[in-house]
Amino acid sequence: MTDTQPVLELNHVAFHFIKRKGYFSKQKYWAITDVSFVLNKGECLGIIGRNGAGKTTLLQLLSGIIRPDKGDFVNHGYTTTLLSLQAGFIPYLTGRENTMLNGLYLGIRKSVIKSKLNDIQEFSELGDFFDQPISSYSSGMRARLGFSIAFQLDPDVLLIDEVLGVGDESFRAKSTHKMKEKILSNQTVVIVSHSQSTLRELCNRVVWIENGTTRAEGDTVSVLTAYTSFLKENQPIQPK
Amino acid sequence: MTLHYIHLILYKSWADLRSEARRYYISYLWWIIEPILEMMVYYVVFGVLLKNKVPHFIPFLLIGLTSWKWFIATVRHEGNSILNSRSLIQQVNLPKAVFPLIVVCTDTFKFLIVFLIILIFLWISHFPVSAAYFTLPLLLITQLALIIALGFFFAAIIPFVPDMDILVDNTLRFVFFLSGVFFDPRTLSPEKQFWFFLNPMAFLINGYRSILMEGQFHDYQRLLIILAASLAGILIANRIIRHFDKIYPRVVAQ
Repeated sequence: MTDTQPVLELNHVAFHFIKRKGYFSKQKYWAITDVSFVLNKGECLGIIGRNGAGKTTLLQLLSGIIRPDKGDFVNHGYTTTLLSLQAGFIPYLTGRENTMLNGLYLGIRKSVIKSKLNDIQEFSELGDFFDQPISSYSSGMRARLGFSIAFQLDPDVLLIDEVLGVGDESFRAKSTHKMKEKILSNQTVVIVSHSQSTLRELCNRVVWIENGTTRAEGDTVSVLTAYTSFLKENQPIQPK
Repeated sequence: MTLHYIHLILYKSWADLRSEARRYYISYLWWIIEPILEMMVYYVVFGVLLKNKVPHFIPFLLIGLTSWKWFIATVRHEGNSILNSRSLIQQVNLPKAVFPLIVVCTDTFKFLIVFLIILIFLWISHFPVSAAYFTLPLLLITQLALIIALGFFFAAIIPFVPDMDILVDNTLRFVFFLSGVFFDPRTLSPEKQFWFFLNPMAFLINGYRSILMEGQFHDYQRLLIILAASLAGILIANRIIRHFDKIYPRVVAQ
């Protein structure tokens, strides 16, 4: 893995939300204060950190949904997509109709979705339910449909927030396996995860985010080792 | 706006219409019955109880109400469209003008159904098709442009100040009574008429009636001014929406 063609770059990036307090007063809440890293072509970069460290906001920045308030975000001309399962699903529409809609939202061309409808139906294992309104689906069925559509995505950079596989045990195994296959092919990926085993298996490099700042960056094993020992030292105080 | 987003807008509009229809037993019929019920209410109050003196009051009222309803429903839906898509815009990167344009499509489609029914009603009530009908498309396009322009402005601002929605609602209700839906503004004194017809909706409603009931239309100059101003408004409002494209996901997250 010596390919170092940069795809996305973050330089001392900071981002804040606005919290409303009272009638006209507002307060800035800094979700990210200082994060820098470079994503190279073909690599899988892991992001680890505790809850509220700013990982999800980071993915929104990388996908171009939001822009940083400080620092630079450079996209060297690549398409990035956040793997959003079930985005914009409408309950009264059938699985097939929601597939079209969700695919269009995710940026898949209409003709491409149409040509893949059968694959999606098959992969989701929904059978005849594919043509039923999704209000009649169980949550597991919806998750399967959402995953099957998102799996057809083919952006230059895939941004994944935790979810690798969904559904019951067998579908989860199948979907996780497929997603790992996709990641390990030459796909460029940024993945946020709490699962160290997942990151070890898939990522070349890991960035550790703590309180909105890059705490460490480097090869997977050393960053994860440092993170683990940090967690042991900073365990939340147990109630007596 | 690339072809992809046009596909998205059209598909989502179709999906919304379909989803709305599936929710009810008589589904699509509501698009006809609901406006008729509403018109009956206004007819009973203003035509029967208040004994309106306008000749041919029913067609007069139908035309005014239908055109107004297209305007008010669409503008209000547009205004809330970006705010209402809050979960979606935090997950996918879309040009935000997509959202008001979707409601423009669905509301305009519903309007056209009712409008067609009114045309048929007029034809059976001895208001025949005339040469003035050639102006009708221009009038419809002008109103469409006006609707998009105003709605875009509200859609751009309301995510920052959701309270605006209440103000907009009340202001437009006031404008409703100043648009000549229930009375003929041409009975006002010329001086009052001058001010009255500065309201573009009053002008357009009066225009529909002239074409459909009297078979004539004269004031092309003012019509084209409204059209040009609306088109300029769309361009400006669209610029504002694009300017805040990356800000909306943060603002609606509050």
